[in-house]
Amino acid sequence: MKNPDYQDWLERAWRGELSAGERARLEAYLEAHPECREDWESESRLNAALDSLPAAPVSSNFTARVVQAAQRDEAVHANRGRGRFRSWWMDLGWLRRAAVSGGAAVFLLGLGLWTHQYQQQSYRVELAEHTALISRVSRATALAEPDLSPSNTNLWVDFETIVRLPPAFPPPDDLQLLAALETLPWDSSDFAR
Amino acid sequence: MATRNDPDAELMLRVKHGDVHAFEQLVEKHKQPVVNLIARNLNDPSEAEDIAQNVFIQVYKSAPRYKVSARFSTWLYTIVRNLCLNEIRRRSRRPAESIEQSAGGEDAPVRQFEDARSPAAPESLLQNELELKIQEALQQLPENQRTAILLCRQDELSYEEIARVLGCSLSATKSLIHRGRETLKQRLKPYLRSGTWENKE
Repeated sequence: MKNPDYQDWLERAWRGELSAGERARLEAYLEAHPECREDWESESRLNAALDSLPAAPVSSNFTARVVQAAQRDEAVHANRGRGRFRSWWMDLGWLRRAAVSGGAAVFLLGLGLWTHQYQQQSYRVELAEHTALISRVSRATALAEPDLSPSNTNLWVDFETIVRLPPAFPPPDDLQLLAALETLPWDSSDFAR
Repeated sequence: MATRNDPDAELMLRVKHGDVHAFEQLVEKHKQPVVNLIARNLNDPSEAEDIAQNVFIQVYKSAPRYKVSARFSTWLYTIVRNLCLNEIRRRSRRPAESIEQSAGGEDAPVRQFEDARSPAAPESLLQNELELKIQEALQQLPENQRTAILLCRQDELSYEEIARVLGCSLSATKSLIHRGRETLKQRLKPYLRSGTWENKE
């Protein structure tokens, strides 16, 4: 079992940190424990061997090259945002690109269908509103003129034309007329006919 | 915190705010130990510089996220170790490929080496052979033992900091160094006994 002090000196010697005082104490220890001397000498020679390794060559313009490369890299990094989508797209490979394109096409098709259905629905609602309005007009006019009763099919001949009237329909004059008709006295039994 | 007195951390904070001159100072100060560590870890001085360049570029790129939580050199050598590990993995996958194909481009500046070699004398030939033996012995060690021993001799990091770079405990780090050194002593026994390396301790 080695002396803890010896181990400590050894570890400090690995880093070349032994002070003059520690060296003196170590020397005294080695005098008292000659069995450790060979180990100590081989440790010291290994340190010397490692220190004898020559410095690796570094070119004289190394710093300038590194700074230049770092700045170039920074500039490339700044521009990468623009090229990122392209490189991402190219990195995907043709099979994945086809899958992504297909997905995008399905999404756009779905969006188109949904928009079309929404427009159809809006059209139906608008149509129902117009029909209800015409029905109200018909009911009101039937009070004054029986031939204009909703049961008279001749009344619906121009239905399509009326439906396709511009958005200003019904004209303000018609609304006034409707209001006037609704003020007339009428009997609900008229609708039963 | 001790890091408040770390001049490198202060330089790094200046780099964080876009000071290129501070970055130059950091590179200038650390280039030699970083290149040495890489060259000895990979046993490839020719490509050590390219990897060291990547290390410093990584430092520059990471500057905006840099926080003073440890000494700068601990952080730097952690990056060095990670890139060395990447290189070891890359080499194990593609042993024949040179890093120059990926690191250097056509527009990469030409390296300017100073010729520090003197004519080969018999002593220098012997010294070269011994260096080769040490490098061979180092290369046969597991990567973590090799890195621990090399960092230990760099005089830059404490055992606690080496442990942090290696991502293990202090006792595990000392154990790695001890085991690595025991292996080296065994492998270099004939050379260590010959007294080729004088006892400088």
